[in-house]
Amino acid sequence: MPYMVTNQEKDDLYEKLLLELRRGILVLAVLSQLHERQYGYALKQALEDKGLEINEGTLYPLLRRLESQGLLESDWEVVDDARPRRYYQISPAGETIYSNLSGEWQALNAVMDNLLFPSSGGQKWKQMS
Amino acid sequence: MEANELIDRYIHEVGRHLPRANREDIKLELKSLLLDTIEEQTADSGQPPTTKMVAEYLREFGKPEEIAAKYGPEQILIGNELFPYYRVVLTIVLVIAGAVHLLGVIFQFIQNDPVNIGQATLNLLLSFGQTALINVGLITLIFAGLQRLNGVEFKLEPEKAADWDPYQLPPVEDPDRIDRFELIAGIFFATLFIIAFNFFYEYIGFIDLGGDDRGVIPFLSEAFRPHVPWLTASFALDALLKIVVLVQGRWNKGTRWIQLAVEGFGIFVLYRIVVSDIISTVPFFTTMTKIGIIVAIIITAFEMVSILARLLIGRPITPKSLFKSPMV
Repeated sequence: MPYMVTNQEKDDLYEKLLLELRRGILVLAVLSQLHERQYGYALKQALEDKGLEINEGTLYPLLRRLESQGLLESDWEVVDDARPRRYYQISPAGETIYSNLSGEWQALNAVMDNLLFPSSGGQKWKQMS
Repeated sequence: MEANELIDRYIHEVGRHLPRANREDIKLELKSLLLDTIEEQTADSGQPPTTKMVAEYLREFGKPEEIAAKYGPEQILIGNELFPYYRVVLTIVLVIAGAVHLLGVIFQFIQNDPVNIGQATLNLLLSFGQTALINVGLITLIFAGLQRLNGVEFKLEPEKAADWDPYQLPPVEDPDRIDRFELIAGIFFATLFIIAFNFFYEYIGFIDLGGDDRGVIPFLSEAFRPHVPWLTASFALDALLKIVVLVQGRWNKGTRWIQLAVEGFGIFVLYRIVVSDIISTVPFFTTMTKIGIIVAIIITAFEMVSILARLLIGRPITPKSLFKSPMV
């Protein structure tokens, strides 16, 4: 007898897969917004303003990880006597990787478009997005 | 609880699970980021943030261990999701193994009197090292296996926000805060011991209720008397330090180093007593006293190691000191 998946399991699996799908694009999304230096909260706002909701508990550690990988640079700054904030900006190495990844993203996008919506030549995808 | 207190507790708890190398830096950044968000959320109302609001935000932000795991380096053998649990299991097992070994030495001491304390300590360390090595290996193997369950990697279910309660966060420990009662009690007892050993040496003992004259049977033998000046010096130094700290109102680096020296001297004095032949007029009490002193030496040694570690590694970093660093 085939294993029956409950609705709850289906929901959980969907959440998991969605999380993995989003995880893959987060790096590219973050790099895209750091051509100018920004601090964590402002970056979160910038991403949200463009439609990408991201949990702060995910974003802030990600910034540190990208910095440790050499894709970002950071420094502390006190603006207008406020509390110190850490500002991040894409590094030269990050720029190169960002440029390559952006090209890959566009190519992947086109491939996925054809895979998901072959009959409409990818038009459905464009309409949905 | 105040909203700020809750934030401090949260940051502190995250910090406990962070790698030591950049712990203070991450804590500082995290605090700045949390305050940014909370301020933004309360900007419209113009009211300061409430504890309830902060608790709700922290609940959503994530459980401290999980946030810390995300900041940690990518673990190859045991992934970041499992690593905090691996560390907890490892700590529990090693603490139990350590306690069992310590009890073993005490029993050995009771059974074979007099025992060579140096040999017993060496045996304890060697045996504990062997047990620790085997246990670390086994636990690592089990967790590495767990990691590889379910195909390539094992992921814990993401914790639901409601599954943890920010109100349960433990208070921030402040190792330099003084406990006045403890200090005063310490000074009182040190003075009491100095007076008792120096002026009432013969009266430290048991009251003979059975005899007609109901005299005092001395507890300490005459052979113990040469230790009295050393004990007096040790108690006097300890009391003096406690008085200084009490007046200053807080422990600082200087007084902590002095404390290390005073405790080191105390261990030396106690060691001299342990290796001496006779303490009490009753042989059984000599053994019992020696066991008590060994326990005291071990506790003091642990305390010294923890103070030393804090002095050498756990340097407090303030925003001011941070901005003086070459990083900026």
